[in-house]
Formats: sequence, structure tokens, C-alpha cells
Amino acid sequence: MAVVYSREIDGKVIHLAPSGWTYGPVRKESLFVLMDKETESLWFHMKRKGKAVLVGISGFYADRELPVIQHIPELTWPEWQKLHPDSKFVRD
Amino acid sequence: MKNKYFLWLPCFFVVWGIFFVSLAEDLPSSTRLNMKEKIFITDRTGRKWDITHAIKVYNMEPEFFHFGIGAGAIPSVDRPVVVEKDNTAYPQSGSDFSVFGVNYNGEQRAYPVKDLARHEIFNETFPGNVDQYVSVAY
Repeated sequence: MAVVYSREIDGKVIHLAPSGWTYGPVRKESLFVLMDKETESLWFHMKRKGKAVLVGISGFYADRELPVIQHIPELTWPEWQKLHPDSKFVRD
Repeated sequence: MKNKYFLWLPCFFVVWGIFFVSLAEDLPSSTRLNMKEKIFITDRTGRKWDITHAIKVYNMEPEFFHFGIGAGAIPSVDRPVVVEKDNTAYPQSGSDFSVFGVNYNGEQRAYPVKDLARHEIFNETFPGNVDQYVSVAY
């Protein structure tokens, strides 16, 4: 499962990146702690009021939220292409 | 003989003086200490991260932060390459590999799972007027 977050806050566009940290009681099952390159605030995926959001846990954007736009399942390329024949393909 | 007792009098004031001063200073100074007390975790590059807010507000535990391989160790993709259908680099329809597909603002884009696993984050720009700046995170 992958997640799409908005990266607009207060009219600014930010860039998210892995902070190098993961978080969780069990190391193997821990989840990525993200940061934004602009302020180096830390962000973590949480449920708040029943909604999944990315929450600023430290730094300039502490207590702020970036909404989850969608959760996306893993599919094979032929499966995805069948659903969306005009899909674009994105590389790193 | 009486002079001997007068000598004790200053001692009495000094002792009570110290007691009251300590009472008066004790509370504010310990409060100040708590506010100053910051919690840091140090990653493998030697960088210190202030996680005071995460610990105090979100009840996170410092020992639950793992790896700390450093910011930039896993590079996010900030300029993704969007391949159109008519491009020769577009994968053939029979190709067997996994993707995460995003359908957003009337545009569909597929991200190979192996690319997303290598970078964790794609900072994307989708065409449209609202909410077009998004991050695809694995």
C-alpha cells in the first residue's frame, strides 16, 4: 500500500523526504518518519479524529496536518493498464 | 555569660534566611529546568534531532525511533520523469512488474514499486488548479 499526501501548506509547496528514521515499538515493523526539506520538521502518519493524516511531530510545522488524498494498492502493470489504458508512466 | 547567647542570634537568622530563600527559588527554578530540558536523538551521521515535541505532545518514545541512517540516505525524487504513452520508454503492455497507480485530477500515473521502494517519496505535480502538489509515499 502506498499513500498520496498533499504537500501544500499555507500556500507554500514543500518537498517531503525520508528523515532516515523509522518509528515503532518493533524495529522490523516500524514506519518511516518523514521530513520536509524546507524546514526539516518531522512528519509521521497518524489517525486523527478517525482520519489518516500526516502530522508534524516536531519543528516549524509541529501539530500541522497534511491530508491523505488517497491510499493506493499495488497492482501489476497489465492490471493497471486494463483499468487506465491512457495512464502515464513515471520513473525516478 | 549573657553575651554567649547573643552570639547564637545571627545564626538563627542565617538558617531561616537560607530556608526561605530556598523555598522561594525552588519552584520557579525547577519549572525552568523542565522547560529547558530537551530530548534529542542522534543519527548515524552525528546529527541531533530535537524530538521534545513528539515525546511531550504525541507521547512518542525516544527508544522507538530506529535506524537513523541520516537525511538524504534515501533520496526522494523531486523531478519525476513522466513518460507518455507514445514514448519508446513506455513499458510494453505485457510487461510483468508491479506499480502503484494514482488516478488524480483526471490524470493517471503509474509508479513502479521498485522505484518507490528505492526512493520512498516522489514529490509530484499533477495538472489542475487545486491540490496539484502531492507526495506519493511508500
